[in-house]
Amino acid sequence: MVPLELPSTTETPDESPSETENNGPRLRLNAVGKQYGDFWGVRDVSLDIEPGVLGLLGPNGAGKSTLMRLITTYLAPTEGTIFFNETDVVSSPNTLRKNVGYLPQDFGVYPDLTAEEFLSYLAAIRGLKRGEAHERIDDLLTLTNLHEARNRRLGSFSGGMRQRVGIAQALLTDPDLLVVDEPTVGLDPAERVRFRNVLSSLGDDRIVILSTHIVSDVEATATDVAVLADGQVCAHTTPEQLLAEVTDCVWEVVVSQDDLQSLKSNYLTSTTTRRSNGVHARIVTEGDPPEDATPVSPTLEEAYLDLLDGSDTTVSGENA
Amino acid sequence: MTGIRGVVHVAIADLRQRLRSPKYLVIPVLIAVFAQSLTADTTQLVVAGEYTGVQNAAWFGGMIATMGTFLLFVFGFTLVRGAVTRERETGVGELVATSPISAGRYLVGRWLGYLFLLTLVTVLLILATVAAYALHGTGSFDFWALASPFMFLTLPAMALVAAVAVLTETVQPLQRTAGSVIYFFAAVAIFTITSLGSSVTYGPTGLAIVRNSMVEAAGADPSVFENRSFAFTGDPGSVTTFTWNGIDWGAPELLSRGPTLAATCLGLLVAVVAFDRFEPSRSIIQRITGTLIGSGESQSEKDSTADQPALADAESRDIAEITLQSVTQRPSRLPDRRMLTAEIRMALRGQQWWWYLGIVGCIGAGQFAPVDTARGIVLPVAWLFGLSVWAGLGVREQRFRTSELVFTTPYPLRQLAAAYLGGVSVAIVSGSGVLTALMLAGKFTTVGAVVIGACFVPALALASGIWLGTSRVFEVLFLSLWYLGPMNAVYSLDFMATHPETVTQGTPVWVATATVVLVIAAVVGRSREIQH
Repeated sequence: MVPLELPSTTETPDESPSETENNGPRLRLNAVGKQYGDFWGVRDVSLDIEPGVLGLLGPNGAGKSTLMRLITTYLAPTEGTIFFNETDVVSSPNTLRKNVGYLPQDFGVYPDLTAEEFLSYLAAIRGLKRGEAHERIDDLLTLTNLHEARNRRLGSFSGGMRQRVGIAQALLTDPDLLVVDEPTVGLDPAERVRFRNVLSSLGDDRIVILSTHIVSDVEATATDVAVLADGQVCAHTTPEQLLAEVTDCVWEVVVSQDDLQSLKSNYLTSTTTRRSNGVHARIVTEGDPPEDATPVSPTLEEAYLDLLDGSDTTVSGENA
Repeated sequence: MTGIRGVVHVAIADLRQRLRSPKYLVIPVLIAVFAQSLTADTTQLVVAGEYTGVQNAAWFGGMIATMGTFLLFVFGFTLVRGAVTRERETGVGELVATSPISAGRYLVGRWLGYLFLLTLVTVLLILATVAAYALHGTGSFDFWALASPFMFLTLPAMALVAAVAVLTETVQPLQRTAGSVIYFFAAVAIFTITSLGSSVTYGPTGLAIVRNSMVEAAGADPSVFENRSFAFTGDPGSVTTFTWNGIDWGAPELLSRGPTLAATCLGLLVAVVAFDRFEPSRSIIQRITGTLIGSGESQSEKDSTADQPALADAESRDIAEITLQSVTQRPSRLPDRRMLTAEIRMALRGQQWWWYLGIVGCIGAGQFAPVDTARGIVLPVAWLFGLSVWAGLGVREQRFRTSELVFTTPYPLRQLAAAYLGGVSVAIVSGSGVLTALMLAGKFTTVGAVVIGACFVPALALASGIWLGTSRVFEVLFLSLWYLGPMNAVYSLDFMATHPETVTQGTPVWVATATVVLVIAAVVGRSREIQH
């Protein structure tokens, strides 16, 4: 696939994000924690992130959205430090804000504005020049397949279309750091694949942080994976290394409907598929599989489930 | 039984949601201050121009009940309104619309929730009155005489307030600022006509019942116009003291509440008919027909977006064919012209054609009317048009859940500055006719005072919106100041300098000081929002 052409943002001389041309942007989190009352949303999170797509996985309530908000400066950490290109973003949040594109998990739009007007408004408050913003918005509306709907009010948009507007606004400034929280929610399969391709292309020369529950999205796009559980990082590695952890541990078993429950109670079961000869179940086990089990290639989802199943262990890859 | 349970649960859910907000803690504080200020020696209630009562339990009850009922009648609407709107905006409405609860039960539940809250406030008023009696009262403690005016006068009035609040949330044109404006003026007008202008007792606040009883106890004739005076004053002059032991509640007094309760029922009925069940595409005719033939509970099968043509481009282009144009970010710490234009466009979005016509009319009238008329009438009317624009300041990001998009932009405080300057611009432009006339007349001091007022109003809107998360408080504050200052010549509150005395008394200095304080409060509040 020919990569999407995304020229780098031109910065005015007086505002100098300290990205160096040779190294690309870099984001470092050191022992970051965020406390809400007595509850820690995330705690002791340390990550060193370089250009590429980082897939952030974790169960509900693991702290993924909190971490996204901390990275984008929407929240201030209770403890720890966040550095973007060696600048402390807690004390100098605007350094990061000039370079970040953010798609929150739950965001709203102004329903009386059209898609184009909404993007123009956000471009204005981000300091984009009028003419450049106009062309950029035109391209982004094409990229997100909203060109025909550009003059319709957002109040009449479906959930998927609104999500695409969110994606477009995240790319308005051609950011060095793109943070997208559940970006493919509400998208139809074709749009989902299209957006995954966009993310892959973007990750060539910038940092893309993709938080999602859809492991296949991470599998298709991510160069690194971080898994969060109970507000803490339990793995930061490559998809290949995560998969290597469950090599020879995934099996397919064909069982009757009656025996399925017993199988599920004895083994970590990732998927079940009904067929004419019974239920085909994929199980993950480091021990002995059932007698008639056949080995199969693991998926990232199975590696992820296995990791969460025994989340006492921490997996660290070369980049961790 | 299930129906009643559903109604009660709707009501209790609303009450729980509200009472868990720390903002409501201000209510008991305000009530305590209110009761103390009315019952302290510095303030006296004088009826029929020359009589005041012995400060017994009945007198305290009647005094605080009448004033409290009036204030709750005018401002209670702002306090309670918003639950239906909140469900419309948060999407909870869709869950309600697809549940089996009928529109009638749902709205009665909402009304009951509002009434619960207003009843709670009334109970706090009674407790504050008891405390005030313990501190300042004399004579034996007669709880019935103290509390009965609250029960028979305040509570029916609150039932009406709650019903009108529900009604304005179901009639689309009244759902926002227009509802607040119309209610405020209607409440003040109804109170003035039925309570101050007549000795007939059917007015919604029941002030005439208390006043007639007091005037009779003082030995005067309550039907005489001069004896309808009912004034709280710090300088009563020479007054005769009499003893009032409370209202003798008979059938005429109790039946006088009938019209208020009937109006409550009528309001709820109209609300049920007008309610779109969170499905705005149905016309009012369809809703009325549906309600009358009993099909009002079903959601229209057409989703608001379902009848739109397919929206994705027929032939989506491969992403490899798309080249995004490079962009130059020039974020500065101060808002530029482009940002200011964007904020003004955003603020004006959704205004109807008649709004622009009204503004143009005010600009023209301000220029061509006699300068005193322009200043005293045209300017207040012009700024009344601006209310719907200012009401959105400070709350828009929260209301439309765009905070994370807006507050993660570079120098997000400049967006606040642009929004503020946009609000000032609306005040200046709508009052430009009057300002031109004042300049031509050489009244430059007044021009300065009006400009200060133009800076004050958006500052008030921003600060209250950011800190309280609702535009309703600003709306009622603005309307109260507008009514008392410019319209009723309370010079210390005349923030737009419509009276010559306002300038000579130095009010603009205080308005300017308040503006600075409010701008600082808005900046501090927004800074908190930007980085939690």
